[in-house]
Amino acid sequence: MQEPTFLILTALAAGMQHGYGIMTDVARISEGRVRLRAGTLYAALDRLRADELIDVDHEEVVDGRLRRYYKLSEEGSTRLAAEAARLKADATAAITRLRAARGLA
Amino acid sequence: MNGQAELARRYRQRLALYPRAYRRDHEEEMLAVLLEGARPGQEFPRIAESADLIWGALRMRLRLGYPFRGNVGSDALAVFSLVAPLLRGRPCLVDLRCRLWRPARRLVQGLFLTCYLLEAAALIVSPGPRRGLELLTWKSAAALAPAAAALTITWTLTMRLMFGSAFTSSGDAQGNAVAVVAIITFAAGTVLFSSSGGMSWCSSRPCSTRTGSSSAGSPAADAFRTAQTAHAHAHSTSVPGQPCNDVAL
Repeated sequence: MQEPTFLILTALAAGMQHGYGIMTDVARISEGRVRLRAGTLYAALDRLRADELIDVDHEEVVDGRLRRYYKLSEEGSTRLAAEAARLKADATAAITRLRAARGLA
Repeated sequence: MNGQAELARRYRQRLALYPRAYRRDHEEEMLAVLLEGARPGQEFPRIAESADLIWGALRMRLRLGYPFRGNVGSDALAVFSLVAPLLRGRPCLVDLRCRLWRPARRLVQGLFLTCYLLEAAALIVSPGPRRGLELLTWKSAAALAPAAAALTITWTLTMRLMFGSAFTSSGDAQGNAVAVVAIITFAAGTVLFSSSGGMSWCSSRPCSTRTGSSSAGSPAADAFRTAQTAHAHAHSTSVPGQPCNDVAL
């Protein structure tokens, strides 16, 4: 799973959000490292929808503009949890080894 | 507020690059996101934003994303059909026999080039369902194939059209069957003709080494030999060692 995908799913983990909400949330989670632009975001959202990792929750019109809210699907939660566990395990391994190396030095 | 209307208009211009089917589903939503992300007083899309939209639109048009998923097989074929002629060892899109009557060669070259360009353009601009392109490809393949066989010079052209049919097949059984036949024929033909020093390799080889084929069974090859013989009779001025006038595009 690529980082932007991971971050989008993470942005939706706590609840539904619309496109712009996801964009700003992804920037916040990644501390500004990953900034999705509209074209990239929607390409990713479409892919995730096609893979059934996210669903459309509902649509509403705010200030005459359409907002579509997305939410994590059951499958999406499972995949995100699995990916998070994998990343955590990798990170732990890296930290452990670095510590060990430093301990030996 | 006028500034924002102007900005919205400019964003819409960028969004217009997306396929129509995609815009129907996404334009308003994407515009809203773009406007929400705009700075106060901003009148022009940022360069990075425009680039992102252009790239996104191109990806959609090249079927690298929804709503064209689920057709991975025929999409792959579509791309392959465009790339295949370029993979044949040399930049030879049309591999015509030497000693072919020049106007006929020109005609086929033109036909081929037109088909190729149309298909490339169609791949880029087609708005979604590829039904509209059927006329251009598999129906025209059906219509042209007998004529092509009769002319004997259009092995590659026929293959192109058959691949074209694969490209427009949208995954239906008929189109897939044509695609499979096209691939098998293409592969077999390439092997047969290449091994006998024919079809695939052009320009540098002298004509005399390229006539005839030891392999049998391919109607195209047979028709080909017949035509060559006929032609050799008509013009008995064939010079061994003379470079072939293949058409390289």
